[in-house]
Amino acid sequence: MTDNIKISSKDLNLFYGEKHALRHIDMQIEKNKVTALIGPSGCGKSTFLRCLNRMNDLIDSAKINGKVEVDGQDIYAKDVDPVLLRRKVGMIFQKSNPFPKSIYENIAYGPRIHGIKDKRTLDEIVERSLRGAALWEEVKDELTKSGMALSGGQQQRLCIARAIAVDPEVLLMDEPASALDPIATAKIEELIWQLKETYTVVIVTHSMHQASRVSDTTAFFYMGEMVEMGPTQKIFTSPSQKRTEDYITGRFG
Amino acid sequence: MERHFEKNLEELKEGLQAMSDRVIEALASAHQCLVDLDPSLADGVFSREKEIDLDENRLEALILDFIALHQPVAGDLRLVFAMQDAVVDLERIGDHATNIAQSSVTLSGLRTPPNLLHLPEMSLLAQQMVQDSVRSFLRRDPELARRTIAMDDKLDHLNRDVARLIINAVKEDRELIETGLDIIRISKNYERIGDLSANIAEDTIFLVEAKIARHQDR
Repeated sequence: MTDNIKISSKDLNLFYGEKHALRHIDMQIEKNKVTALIGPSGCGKSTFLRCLNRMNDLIDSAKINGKVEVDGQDIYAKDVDPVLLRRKVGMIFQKSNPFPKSIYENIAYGPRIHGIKDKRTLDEIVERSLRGAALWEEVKDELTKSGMALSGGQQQRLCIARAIAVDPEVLLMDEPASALDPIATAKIEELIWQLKETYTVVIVTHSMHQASRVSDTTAFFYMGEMVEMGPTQKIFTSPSQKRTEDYITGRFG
Repeated sequence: MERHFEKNLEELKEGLQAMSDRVIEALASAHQCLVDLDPSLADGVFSREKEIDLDENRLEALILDFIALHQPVAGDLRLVFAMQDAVVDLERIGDHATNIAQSSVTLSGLRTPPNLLHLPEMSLLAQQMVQDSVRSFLRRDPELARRTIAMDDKLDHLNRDVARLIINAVKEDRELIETGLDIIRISKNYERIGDLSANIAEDTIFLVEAKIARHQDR
């Protein structure tokens, strides 16, 4: 079992000043699976996601105790370089945020700052990343075009391509399709399903149906606690906890 | 504020209650037709059966709409699937009531009133099972469901005993073959009503406990 665990949190607590935003979170996230985090606004799911690559370090008032391990290594240990951690554990945000540069440069930027200068290698990375994000066929003839000129769905896939260009092992996605139309959403969801062959994916979503469509495992958060976590099929047919059932059936939240 | 979702769910439950009321009325009329050997009572069963068929169509359409519009999950999803099964089972029970009424009409035409053996008892038992299974479903009462399922053994036993008694009677008097076949047919219909009621009770267990109770050893 341990071999299959990519990320684990142990008694993880997070405070924003006085506010106890995450309470004693114990969670194990399996390798090469999609794990969905669901729950009402303010429940702590995005806060938890951001703990997994230390994005909360950037918030002064945030204080953390407990442990988060990636491949058994405590990511909050003093000797961990957050930049290298974020290379291994990438993040895709709700609103696509391409750089105001060409499609090519959007992808090549990360590998370049990690020291790759060779043009041929960069070309290969750009193609591989765009293929991995199911965007290559749509943009291969216009790689010099601005990333900002793409449609919303394409921009989000460009951001996924940018995230995978630096060879991460985990992709964190914070509502990656919430600003997209149903067709672009379906493409992102299809992509998420494919990405898990290579990466471990953790996704925060407000859409119950997205969670049920794309994830293997679902965790339900409520008021800073993780109420229940289990196989998605089980959570959406017979959850163990009444609060989970009330939330997913729309009776509160 | 009552949600659209809750309103549609209530409509489904009320529809199931109304359908089961009609099925129980059909069974009660079939019972009278049988014990009084009064063919005029069969018409009430036949007209009820047509209404029950319409209930099935209407409820199936509502269930389909409910799934498409509300995309239910968890307990709500189990409810609509269990309800779909229950609707099909109730419609079949309506068909069995019709079969019983038809055979009762045949029996009423005999010069000598036949010995109905266990049929009146089976009829009452079957009606009780239908009533209790639907009640267990709508009240989400798995204990009542289990008691209903247990009643099915008694109905099975009576059905086998009817067959045994008819075979013995026919051995004594071959003239009784046709009457005997009608009695066996009615008995078999009651036995099937017991099975279908037990299915509805099993749907209750699935609904409440998320366990598939069908095809398990009873």
